[in-house]
Amino acid sequence: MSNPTFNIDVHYLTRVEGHGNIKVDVKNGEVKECVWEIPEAPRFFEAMVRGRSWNEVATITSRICGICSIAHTFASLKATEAAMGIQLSKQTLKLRKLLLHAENLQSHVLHIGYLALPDFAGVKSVIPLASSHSQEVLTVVRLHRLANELCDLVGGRTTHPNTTVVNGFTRLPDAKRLKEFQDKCKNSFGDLRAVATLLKALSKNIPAFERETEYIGLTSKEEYAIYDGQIGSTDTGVHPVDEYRTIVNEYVVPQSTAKYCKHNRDAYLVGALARFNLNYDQLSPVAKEIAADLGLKAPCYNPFMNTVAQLVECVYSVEDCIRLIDEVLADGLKEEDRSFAIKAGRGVGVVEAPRGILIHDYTYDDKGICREANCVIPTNQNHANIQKDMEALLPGIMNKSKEEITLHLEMLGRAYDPCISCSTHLLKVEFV
Amino acid sequence: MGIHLAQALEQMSLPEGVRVIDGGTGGLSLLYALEKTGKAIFLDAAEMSKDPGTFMRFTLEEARIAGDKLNLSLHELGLHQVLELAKSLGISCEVVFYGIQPKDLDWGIGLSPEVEQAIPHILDAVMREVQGLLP
Repeated sequence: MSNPTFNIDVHYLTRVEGHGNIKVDVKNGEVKECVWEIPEAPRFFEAMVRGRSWNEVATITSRICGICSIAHTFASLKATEAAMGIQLSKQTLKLRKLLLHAENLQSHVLHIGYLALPDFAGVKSVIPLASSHSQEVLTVVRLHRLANELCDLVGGRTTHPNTTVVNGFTRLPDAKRLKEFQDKCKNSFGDLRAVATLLKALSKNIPAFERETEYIGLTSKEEYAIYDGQIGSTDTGVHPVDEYRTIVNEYVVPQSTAKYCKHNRDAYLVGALARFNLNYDQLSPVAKEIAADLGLKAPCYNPFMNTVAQLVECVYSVEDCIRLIDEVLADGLKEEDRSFAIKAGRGVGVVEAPRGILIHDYTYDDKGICREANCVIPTNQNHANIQKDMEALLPGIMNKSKEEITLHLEMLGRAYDPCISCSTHLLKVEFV
Repeated sequence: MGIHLAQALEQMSLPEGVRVIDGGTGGLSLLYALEKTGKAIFLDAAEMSKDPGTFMRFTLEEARIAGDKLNLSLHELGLHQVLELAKSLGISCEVVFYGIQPKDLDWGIGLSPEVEQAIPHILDAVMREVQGLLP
């Protein structure tokens, strides 16, 4: 098998959101083709919001994603608020952070427990895992439900929040229920540690592959950034959010209906691992302890460890929820004036979605009608890096069986937790 | 189609203990709804090779639900996987489906006239089933 010849065609990678294909062609040990291909239909959301009023835009763009609808809502509201010159109250800011943590936890637990653990356990899906590791799956179910409860409590419903609007909340969470939720958070560390123990036990199945790349995410002097901050790069330092176009540099490739991105190198990585590499020092104590226990150290260049970084962030989200609820309850929840003056302008809103840095950019006219929109999705920003990782991974695993090579490439795609439907755009072509 | 039926049911007078849930593309969140439920009635479009607007009541045992063959599920686990997972985890909830044959699954807003006309009949059947749950 020193000069292997084989062909891999994974048509629709499973256990990811949306449709991605992996195509590999190796002849006599020479890689003829190794492609991460995105055939998903484009979504047209930027066109949908043009001509819509400021108070409709977030509701529409929230529907870009069924997993990170809260992050889309916030990137959208922040862009609108930046365009209108609105300064948020401390209460709104804290409740938004709480809700974003809920989504981070919800999304990460879903990926770790239902989509990635089956790979590490060597089974096809969570269904057989529910029989072989029923206690562990029930633990995952409990954590996922905990996150859903907070989404309901603060956001009004599990996905596509309906309480959070421009300059505030239409309905505040009940203080008593927030306190009850905080108790549940305090009681959830046993479950989080149980998932960490399982991940550690299965960690021998996490491939030992490294490829250093550029890591990009929000960064802030105040905290481990998820809601606010500037754009941080491990290569080039800190950049203002308004300059995002010089960071993302979107371009199109023939193999993909999703745009690709590059900054200082030919690709960059966003998501939990990028945030961990950029902002490790600001993580909360138990999150750092779990990271150390799982052998995750910053900087980490193994993309397969993104799943481990997600678990570390789950712990951080729970710890920060406890802190935020303490602050919100101590301040006392009160109805606030949400009025503001509509004005023309452009605004950029950036948040960290579970899968990485998410950017919405709107231009409004003086009636508050959206005239231009641009959304840059985390998975877009990861596609080029997935491609480069696959190219780097393949030569080192070429002497394995075809099944093992296929599994490794599939696991690599899944490690990024890609949200492919969100990332697809269509190139506008004008013939001259 | 499901959302139209859910909205119509929300406007109707339902017996105590009966909840209407817009499951959306819900996936796993449906698992938690099933946990605390004695019986769940799923209403949505179903490809059954029938005339548009035809609706059928069936149970899991009576029909084999295909995987994501059409790839229309936007996110995470499909309905059949959620139901399988619920079974593996020992969640015992009786499940009934009302499948409605759609005319067109292409992009667009609203329902076809054939499906629109079928809606009152579907709601009647569902209400009869719901009333039948009462002691």
